[in-house]
Amino acid sequence: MSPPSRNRVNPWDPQAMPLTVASEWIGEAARLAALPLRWLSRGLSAGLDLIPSRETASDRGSGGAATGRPSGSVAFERDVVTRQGRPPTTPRTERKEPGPRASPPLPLAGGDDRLIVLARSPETAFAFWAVSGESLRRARGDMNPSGATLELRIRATQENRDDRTVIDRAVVLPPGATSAYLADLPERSRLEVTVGLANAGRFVGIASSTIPTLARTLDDDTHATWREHVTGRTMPGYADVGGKAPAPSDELACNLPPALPTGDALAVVTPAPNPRAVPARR
Amino acid sequence: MSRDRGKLVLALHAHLPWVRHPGRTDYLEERWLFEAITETYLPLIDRLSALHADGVPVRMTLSVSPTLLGMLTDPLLQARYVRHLERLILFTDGEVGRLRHEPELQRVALAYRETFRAARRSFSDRHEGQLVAALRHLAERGVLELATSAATHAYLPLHATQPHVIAAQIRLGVDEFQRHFGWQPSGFWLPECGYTPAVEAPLAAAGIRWIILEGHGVALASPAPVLGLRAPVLTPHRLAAFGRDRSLARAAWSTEDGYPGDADYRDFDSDVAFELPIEAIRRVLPASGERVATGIKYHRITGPQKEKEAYDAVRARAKAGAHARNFVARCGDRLSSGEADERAGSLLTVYDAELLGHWWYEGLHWLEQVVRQVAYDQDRIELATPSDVLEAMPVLQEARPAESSWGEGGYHAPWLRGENHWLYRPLHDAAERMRNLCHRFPEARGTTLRALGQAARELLLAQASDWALMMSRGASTDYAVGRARGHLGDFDWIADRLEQGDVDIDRLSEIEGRDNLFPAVDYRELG
Repeated sequence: MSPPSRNRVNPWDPQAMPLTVASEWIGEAARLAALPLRWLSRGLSAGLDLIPSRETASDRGSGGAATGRPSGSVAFERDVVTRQGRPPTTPRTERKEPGPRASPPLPLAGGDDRLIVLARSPETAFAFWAVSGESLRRARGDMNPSGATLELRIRATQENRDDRTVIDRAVVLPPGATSAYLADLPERSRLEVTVGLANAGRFVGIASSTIPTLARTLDDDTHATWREHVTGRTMPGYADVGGKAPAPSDELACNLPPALPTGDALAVVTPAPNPRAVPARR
Repeated sequence: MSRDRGKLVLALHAHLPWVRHPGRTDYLEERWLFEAITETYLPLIDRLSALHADGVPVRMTLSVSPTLLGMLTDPLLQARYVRHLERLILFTDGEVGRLRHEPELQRVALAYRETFRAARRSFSDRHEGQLVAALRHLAERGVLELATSAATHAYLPLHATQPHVIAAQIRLGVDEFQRHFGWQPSGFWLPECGYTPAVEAPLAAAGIRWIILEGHGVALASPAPVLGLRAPVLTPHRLAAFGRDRSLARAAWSTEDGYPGDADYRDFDSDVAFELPIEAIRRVLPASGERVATGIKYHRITGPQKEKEAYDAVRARAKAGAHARNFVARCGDRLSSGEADERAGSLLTVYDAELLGHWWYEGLHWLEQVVRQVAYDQDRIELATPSDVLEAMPVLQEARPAESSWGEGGYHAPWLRGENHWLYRPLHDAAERMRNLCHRFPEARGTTLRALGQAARELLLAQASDWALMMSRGASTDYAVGRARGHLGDFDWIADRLEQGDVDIDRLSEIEGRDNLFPAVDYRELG
């Protein structure tokens, strides 16, 4: 959605699209295609694509124009912060006025192995990692070091499928790669990603991360969707707003509504007042 | 409140990032605050006060971000705002003379001059600069239900791997609300409507009762809500989750098929700063001399053509009244359509507060007309706040909301894409480093306590969702990158000094003086 201006956009408006784009939501695929860098590694799998986030410091913040890369290859973001000792910069396009604040190097906790995966949509995630030399040496000690490669292992499972595991892939990482987008993930799946060393069928994990449940894909007409789900099929539980909170369940979200509860009284109870809330004097 | 009328929740979210630059006398980004005060916050307060004084039944909801609360109560920014107004008044004095042979435009200049004069009277004389106190006054009279938000408006779903970050943003947001207003908030605005299940436990622990999600966050809940968006659902942690009605939101938001794109409304872009010679506008430009919008715009949208006609305030206000009638009718239609259940009956629509008055110049007049027409011109709906709805609907369906946001695409992509993803590694590492500092200094005193508090402020400021969004939108990108880097750099410097046991008091004082929000922050919240 757009602010009322015809030619300017509110810098804080997350709904504002470029002016040539209608204000309706567009699909995930279209948005991904609009990303400045996108090389789909079709060779990896039919069910999973990695969108490497290879950008140089000068690319960042400026839209990062793609530098042609052959289809089917994979490139990953190198650790610009640690290797170059400075954060990304952007060309000045709007104002020349320098800020009063110094821009020292970004902080970076060193030494620890880590892999972080952030969900960004029902079908995409962003992963970044760091692996210490000591961890690599230790992992090499557990295998034949000749020809060992750093790999990303990606496993997605869905509760409502018989085989549960819908993706189980290994992706060889080029030296220096420190982040990547994961695309075409199955919605509502549990995602487990591990970075580690692999050779001759043996894999030694170094760091891992999990997303409990990816989101559900947004349908074109959510109202039609919920009507379809509920009509004549379900009577969900109701609860008193002021009641005691139950322990949250670990059960994964699922689009199948629960069975009709029997003898479930829908008692109407006045909620307990919030003693700390301001009284409304109307 | 009658049970046979549908309840319309009109909610606004007021937020600006922390833009306080004491080292410079005329910093461009501080104008974001000044323009929002003149065009949105001040007239909103005054219109609501007038409605209440007129005896018009008005119940609205306003969430105010802690960073905005901090700026509205900052004496330096208050003084700078008055100076900003005085420059505009002087400038419009000149404009009234310059346009003496163009009566259509001179009328507009006269209106601006009166607007700025009225703003100065209201801000300085009536409110004595204390707009937060004015909001508290309206809440105490039942006009507003106030809600809080994350401390620095962090986009919480992208911190899901660090629950302590989410908890700190929420806890501090609630603490700041209590510090400014004196009571516990019932509602919490999830920045950008960004919902992930990880926000629930800390919200419940902080005493929050209701949150607002984008419509599909509720519509795609599991199990599916039988009442759709016409009632909140009760989440696993007993939060009432209201879904934003997207159709109503678009009506007042979209330039494509919404009200603000009407030809009679003021054109946002035809600013005098881009129409006059630089010498003629130097008085209202920043010290750098850069041409930036002044807020003085003489033309109406007119149509797609480049040539614009003079703005006609009377015509525009009449159109806003007509659009208010249309909006009220649509709300009534939506609440009375479908298989109505006797419990069905609330609709929630929420807008950025700055949309009204700043982006959509006539938006506040439209809002006032909506309030009056709901009160007197129909009998299908009534205004309510989320707490009113919960009082009227004490039994809610239990459901797990779906991960969602109101951003482009409905999820988290605007805050995590090629232009801004570099930010998340240093943010993650800084948060881990802060946690380590908290463990190392569990009971800090003296200078160490000061340094840890400032480290917490710098980290929180770096986490603001605004920087990632501005980078993503390509708007003020340099400023956003500089701010994120600067706060992370200051955090790093403080952490280094703490780890080495050698804090430079002068440098620390300088950073404290610049980023002086959250005076009561407890660094251990980030541990």
